[in-house]
Amino acid sequence: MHGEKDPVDGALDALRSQQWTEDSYNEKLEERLMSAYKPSASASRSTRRHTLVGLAALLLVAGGTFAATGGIDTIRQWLVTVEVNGQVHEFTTDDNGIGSFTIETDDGQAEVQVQMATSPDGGEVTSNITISAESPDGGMTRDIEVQRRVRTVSSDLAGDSAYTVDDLGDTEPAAEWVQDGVTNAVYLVPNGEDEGVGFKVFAAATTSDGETIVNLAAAPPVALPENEDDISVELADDGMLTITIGGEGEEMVMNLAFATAGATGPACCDPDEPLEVETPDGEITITLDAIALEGQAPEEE
Amino acid sequence: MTLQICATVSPPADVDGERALVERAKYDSQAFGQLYRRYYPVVAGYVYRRVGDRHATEDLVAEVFLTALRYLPRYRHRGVPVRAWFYRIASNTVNRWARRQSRNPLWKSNGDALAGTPAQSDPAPDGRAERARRALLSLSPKYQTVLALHYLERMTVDEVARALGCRAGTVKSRLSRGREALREKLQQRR
Repeated sequence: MHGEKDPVDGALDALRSQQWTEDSYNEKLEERLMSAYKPSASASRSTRRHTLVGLAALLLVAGGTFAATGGIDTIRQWLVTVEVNGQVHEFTTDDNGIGSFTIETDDGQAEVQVQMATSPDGGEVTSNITISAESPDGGMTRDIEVQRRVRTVSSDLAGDSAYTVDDLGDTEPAAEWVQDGVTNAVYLVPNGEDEGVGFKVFAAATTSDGETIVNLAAAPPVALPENEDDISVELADDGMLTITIGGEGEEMVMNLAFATAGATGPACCDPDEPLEVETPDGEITITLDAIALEGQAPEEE
Repeated sequence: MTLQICATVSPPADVDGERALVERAKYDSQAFGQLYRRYYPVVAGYVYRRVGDRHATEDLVAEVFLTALRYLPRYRHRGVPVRAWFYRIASNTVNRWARRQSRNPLWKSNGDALAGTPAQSDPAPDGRAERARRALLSLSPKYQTVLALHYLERMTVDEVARALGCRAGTVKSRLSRGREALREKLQQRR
C-alpha cells in the first residue's frame, strides 16, 4: 500500500537496531588468545607443519533425468567459468571432460580441476563432473564461481569410469545415503605405497539393480590420519558433505556437494533452470546453466 | 524500493596505521591484544546481529579471533582495511554456524523455541527482529553475508566487495536477489 514501509527494509531495520552492549571485550578470551599466541617467526616455521588445506570439491551428477524429461541424455563438454577475486577465467574441457588449470592470485594460487566420467546407469547415461579448488589462504574467503556449462548431445558417448569397487578395497563408507533409489556412499581410501602421500575420496552410487558406479571426487595430498577420531564427516540433508581431517599438525576441510539435475531435492530443479550448488561456507558456487546446442533443447514435459 | 544507508559506521580507517599494527601483531602479542580490543566490539556486534544469541555470539567471536590469530602470519596487506579482514572471517564463521543450525531438526521445526539468550539490550519484545533474523538465516550464505554487511553493518557496495574479495557487480546482484529471497521468506513466515 501507498506509504507502507517495504517489509524487507522493516526487517533489516529491526535487525540493525540490535546492538551488542555486553562487555567491550572478553578478558577470558584475551587470556586464551595470549596463551595461544606464537610470534610469527616460529609460527611461520610451524605453518609448514600446521598447513590448513581448504579443499572444496563438488560432484555434480546430471544427465540421466534429463533423458527422463525428454531432454539431453549425455553431457559431453563443459565450459567452466571461474571467478577469483574479480579475475575471470574460462576453461573448456576436452571431450572426455577432463582438464585443470591454475589461477595465480595475490595470495598464491588456486587449483581448479575438472573431471567428468560417464557410465551406464539403469539404461540411461549419467555424467559426473568434479571441480576442486584449493585455496592457499585458509580462512580468507575466495569467491569462486563456476557459472555456466555447454553441453552437447551424443548418443555414443558412454566412456566408463576409470575406477571400480576394487579401488575401494576393504574401506568402510565414511557416509552413506539414499536418493531417488540410488544408494550413494563416500569412501576415504589411503594412497597406495607407490602413489605418494595422500588419499582419495571416492563417490560410489549403487542402483537398485546392484550396479555400483565409482568415481573419484578428490585426491588431496594429505595423509589420512590413522586415528578415526581425527576424521569427521558431516552429511547435510541436501547431500552436502563436509569432511574435516585433523591431527598430526595437519588439518583439512573438504566440502563435497552432490546434486542431481532434474531430480527432486533441495538443489534441484527444473532442467531448464540453472542448477546451482555451493559449499557450506559459500566460498565456491557452481552454477550449471544448461545450454542446448543445435536444436537439442530439452523438450517440454 | 530500497532504502539504503551506505555510510560506514566507523570513521575512515587509518589504513597505514592499521597495517603497521597488524605487522607488529605478527611478532608482538601486545599488538595483537590491541587488535583484539579494537575489533572485538565490531565483530561481536556483527555476529550478534546475525545470530541473535548472546552465548552463541561469544562462542563465535572466540572462533573468529582464534582464526585470525591462526592466519595472522599469512595476512598480506592489499590496501583493504583490517576491519574487512575481520568481517570476512566473521562472515565465514557465522555462515558455518548457520549451516550447522539448519541441519538441526529442532531449529527447523520450532525455531522460536530455540531463540537464544538475547543481549541485555535486545529490544524485540514483539519478536520482529527474531523473525527477521530467522528469515535472513534461512537464505543462502552468500545472500546473508552481503545483506548483513550492507544493511546491518552499513558498508558500501565497494566495501562489501573488498571484504569478500569479489567484484562490486557481484555484490549488487546478490543484494538484489538476496532482498527478493528475503522477501519470500518473510512472506512465508507471516
